[in-house]
Amino acid sequence: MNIPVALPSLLIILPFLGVLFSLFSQEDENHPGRNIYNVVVFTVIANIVLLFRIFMVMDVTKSSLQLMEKFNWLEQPDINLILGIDIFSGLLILAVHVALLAGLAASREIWYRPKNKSLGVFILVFLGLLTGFLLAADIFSFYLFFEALLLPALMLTGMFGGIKKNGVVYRFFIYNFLGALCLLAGTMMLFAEQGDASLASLHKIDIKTLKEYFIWGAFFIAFLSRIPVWPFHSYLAAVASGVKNPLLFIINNLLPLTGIYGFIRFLPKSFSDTMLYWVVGLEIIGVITMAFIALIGFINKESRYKLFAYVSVCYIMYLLSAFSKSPMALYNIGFSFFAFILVTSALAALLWKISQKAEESDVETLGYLNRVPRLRFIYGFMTFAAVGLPFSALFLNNFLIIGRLFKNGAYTGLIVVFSLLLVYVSLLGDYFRLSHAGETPQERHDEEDLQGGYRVLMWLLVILLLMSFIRPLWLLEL
Amino acid sequence: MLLKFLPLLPEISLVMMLITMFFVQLFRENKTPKTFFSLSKYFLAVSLLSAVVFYNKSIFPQFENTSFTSLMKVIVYLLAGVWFFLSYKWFLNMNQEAFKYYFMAGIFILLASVGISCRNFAWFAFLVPGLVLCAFLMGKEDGGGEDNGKDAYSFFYAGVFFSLLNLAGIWLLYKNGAGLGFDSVQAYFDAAVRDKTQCFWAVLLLLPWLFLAGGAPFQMPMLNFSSKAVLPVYGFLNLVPQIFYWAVVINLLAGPLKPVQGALMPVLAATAYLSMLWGALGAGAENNLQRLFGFNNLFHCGVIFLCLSFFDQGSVSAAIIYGIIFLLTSLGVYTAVLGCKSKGEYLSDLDALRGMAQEKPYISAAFLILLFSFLGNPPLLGFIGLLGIVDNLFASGNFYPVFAVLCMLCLLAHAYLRIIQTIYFAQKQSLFDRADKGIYISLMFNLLLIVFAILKPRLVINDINLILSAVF
Repeated sequence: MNIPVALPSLLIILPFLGVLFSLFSQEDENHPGRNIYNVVVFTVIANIVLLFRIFMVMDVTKSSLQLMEKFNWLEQPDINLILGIDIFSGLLILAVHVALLAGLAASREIWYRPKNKSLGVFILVFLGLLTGFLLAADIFSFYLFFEALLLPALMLTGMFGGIKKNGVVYRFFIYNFLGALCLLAGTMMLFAEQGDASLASLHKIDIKTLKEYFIWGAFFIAFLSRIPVWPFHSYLAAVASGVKNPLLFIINNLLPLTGIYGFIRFLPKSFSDTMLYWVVGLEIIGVITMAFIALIGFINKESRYKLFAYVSVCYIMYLLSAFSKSPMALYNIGFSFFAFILVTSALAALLWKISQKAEESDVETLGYLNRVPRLRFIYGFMTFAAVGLPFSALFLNNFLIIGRLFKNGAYTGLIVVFSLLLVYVSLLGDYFRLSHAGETPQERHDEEDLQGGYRVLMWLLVILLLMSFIRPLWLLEL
Repeated sequence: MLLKFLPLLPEISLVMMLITMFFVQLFRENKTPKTFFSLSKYFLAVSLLSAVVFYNKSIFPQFENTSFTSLMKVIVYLLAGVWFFLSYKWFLNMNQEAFKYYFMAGIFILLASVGISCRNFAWFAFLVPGLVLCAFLMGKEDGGGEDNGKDAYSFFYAGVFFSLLNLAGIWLLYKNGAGLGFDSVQAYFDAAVRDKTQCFWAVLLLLPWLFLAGGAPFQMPMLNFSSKAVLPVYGFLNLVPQIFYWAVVINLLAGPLKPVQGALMPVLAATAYLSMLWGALGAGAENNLQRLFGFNNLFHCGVIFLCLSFFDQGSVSAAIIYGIIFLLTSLGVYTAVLGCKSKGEYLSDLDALRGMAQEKPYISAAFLILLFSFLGNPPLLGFIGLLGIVDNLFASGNFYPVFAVLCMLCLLAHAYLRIIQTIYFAQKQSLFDRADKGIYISLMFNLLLIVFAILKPRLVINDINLILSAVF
């Protein structure tokens, strides 16, 4: 089908158009921050609509990248920006957009303050660049968006995260910057070696000579720097536990996605013996970090940290699954990721809502959910979906992923299951704590419950998750 | 007959500018900083246009115009013009006399214009001391206090020392029959048996330019001196003549010193690594904005010298492109610094900028974009410069220098992050004055140029590659 408009690049451009609108939007004196909030929400929704249009023209039976676009950027060196989309990246882009919508809905009161224009600008820039990263179809384009994400992530975390310790933001930036420089070095070494920056060119490189060690090492360090794996887990934990804003919590928990996605795209179809040796080492580090974070999350009383532990453990599980290189692994990870992002963003949004409302009403969070039955239902649904009950695509796909991990190594599988059980118990424990009736049952307070657009959005998320379980490709069959 | 001298029109225009300024200062009663700026802008415009029109016309063998020298002159004139515009605002706000600044700067630009095109060491014998004297007179404030005087004289004595080194190198060449023209010196080095003595003479000729460009380990006199000078002088010395110094180094290495390149490259490489390390560490430790950006300049000069130390067409091209992008970004940063005022005083301390983003969002945004451009963050313009350097070094098989650059860039990132943290993340402590409209206009053009170049970088880079082919 001939598409007159370059749809994938439009997905990237729209948020930047939103940035221009944001910069020129006037502040309403009676409702400060409302205009900029509306611009951001409208841009995200417009992008979702465009994404559905893309799904309509995609061929579901093809597993390769479609709607390819190529822009010649530099002649010396010969660098092109290549974009393309497949089912996997399409699902992730949709999940990211919906997650941001959930965060926007949860943080609405924060927006309605004067001089919040920069928040809107950086959110949209982040969205545009993350979408670009997920659409990148060659190594150079990957690098461009990978490093460019650093600016909005830093500004959002530093300006609006509410993190008191400057050292946390500093480490956040340096680790990410180091990773990005590694990716630059790896990309340009590969370019000098192979003469092109296509994804296939990296697969031709084994790990035998010093140069090849450097190239693969650079790529590994670059992607690992975004994932909560030792030694990079500490800065992510510090940011996650320090961030007060639910939208920024969601954004910070989307950053590891860039690392996992990079591994999935870049790893070759089969490993040589040398590479296998390093992959095994990485697996060992991954499972140890996973168990460690799961234990800390289990012990920690803070709900936000428990959620962070759950997110980290799941990311490491996806990383380990990416190494299995089974043909179906990509689909399993893709569908599971889709549900995972929706569930974790919903949980983050709801947790913040609970703590905010409890604070306003001057009550404890223990048993708070009894006051708000609609919120209780949605929170319960999301928690049970997160722990793998058959409410979303997480159920079947995680089951298959864990099965594959067991097949690769029984010990790996056992530690993964142990870690997952710990974080599931943490989440369930938190849910039961929030809905514990106690000696004096809390009265129902409908005015504190989910209302209006927020309620609609949460129900939409529930439907999306249920549909992802019942009929995963329904989006593409519209 | 007069038509023969048309290729000298850029220099003639600058001389006329100086004479006019002198007479205006002498005879005109009502003179303001804007008077001198207006004069300078018209004469600089004539110089710029004539440099472009007569880009490859020469009249003396000792004074050659090529596409390369013309490009360098155009950049010097453009930077000077923009900086003069911003400087007169400063003089107006501070209610200070501007004649000395504009006059000395005019002499500086004239010497630079001559130095780019000249191909005879006799000119260089006067050029180096002339530049040092100009900078000294421009920066030394009358009644500027003990600190300013001490640093000014330190710079002056260091400049005299390097001028004497330069003279010694020239005299040794002349005494041994090499002559003074570039071609004769090159032929002399080609024909003579190369021993350590000749390499030493070549080093004597190169060192003064490394000193003037502010390369380590010679940078402290210039850095201390310029950072204590007033903002217009500081900006001029760190911005306008930089490309001239690099152009002279390239001309020397591509011309008379070509046969002894092998001996000079280690000197250049050592300067490069020292500059990068010293610049990165120094910037991270500084709170004074002028010194901080002075160390920042040192780092980037080091990157350029590193590239020049490999001296082939690709590396020189990458160095010049990186240098031009660096100067454009520096111009933006210095413009933003000029926009930081509180209670009528220009702010020089980093802590004074705390929370500036809450009151001055556009200047703060400019700082953010320009600092990330310095870091080589895509898709900003600085990324193209860094990419060219990395690509060129990897393509020629030089991996370890790239790792050194990237590691030290990580160190330098600490300094930039401190600035961003102070401007954006810290609580506002003082009120900021309204910045001049000219600052915003200048910043807008600067950032527009950066954005335009990002969208179509090959329009800029490919043309520069063509022009640089004149060097080789």
